[in-house]
Amino acid sequence: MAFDINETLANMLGTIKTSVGENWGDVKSAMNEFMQSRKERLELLADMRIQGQIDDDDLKSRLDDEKLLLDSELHDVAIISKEIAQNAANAAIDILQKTILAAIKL
Amino acid sequence: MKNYLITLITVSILLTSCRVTLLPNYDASVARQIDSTNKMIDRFYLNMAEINSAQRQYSNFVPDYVKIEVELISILNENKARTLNKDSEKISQNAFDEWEKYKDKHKADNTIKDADIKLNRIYMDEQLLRLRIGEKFKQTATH
Repeated sequence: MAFDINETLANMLGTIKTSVGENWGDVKSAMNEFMQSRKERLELLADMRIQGQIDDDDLKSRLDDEKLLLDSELHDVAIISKEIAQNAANAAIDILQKTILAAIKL
Repeated sequence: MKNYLITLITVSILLTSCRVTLLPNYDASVARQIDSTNKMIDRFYLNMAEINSAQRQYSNFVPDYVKIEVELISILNENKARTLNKDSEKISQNAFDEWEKYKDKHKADNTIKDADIKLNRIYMDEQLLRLRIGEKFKQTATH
């Protein structure tokens, strides 16, 4: 029977760190894609306004569309963050469970 | 020693059923519906762009507007019905609100400019892409 609570907690913390670290790139990657596509849309809007394809009212309306899209993007970031937290927490629980099961079998 | 063992077994049993759940399960049918609606919207605006601007009266497009509106309402309702799904519900609402705005403008103007066709398609595609990204991360969440 060997159950070292300090070692178990350290393993759990290590798993959380690794899991969050590996997945944090997903948030950065999504945010970069959002920003890149926003840049392209704003450039298109500016070109269309300069060429007279849209007027000032159209431009204001499109900026409202951008606000709505930003709201959706922030909800996506919330979903990605929850996925990271859920995966990290469940990985830590798995470590604790495996350690306890190993201690019982000894 | 006996008490210690019982405690470990009890904790182990509790952990077996203890999972952290912050997101709903991935739903492949919702993901497919998002993709098919996105295609319908692309087809709608690409066809519209091919039609002479003099023939772009709102009444010529009502059946397609209704068809796509029904799909967007269905996606919204599917997302509302799932627990822990407030974020996707809000994105679905945003996509629906955007669609309604574009439809109402076309109805009020009774025509639509080339630039608006292009931009409406881009903004609807972006909203549905945000919705699809949300579904993708539910797929990789552990349960």
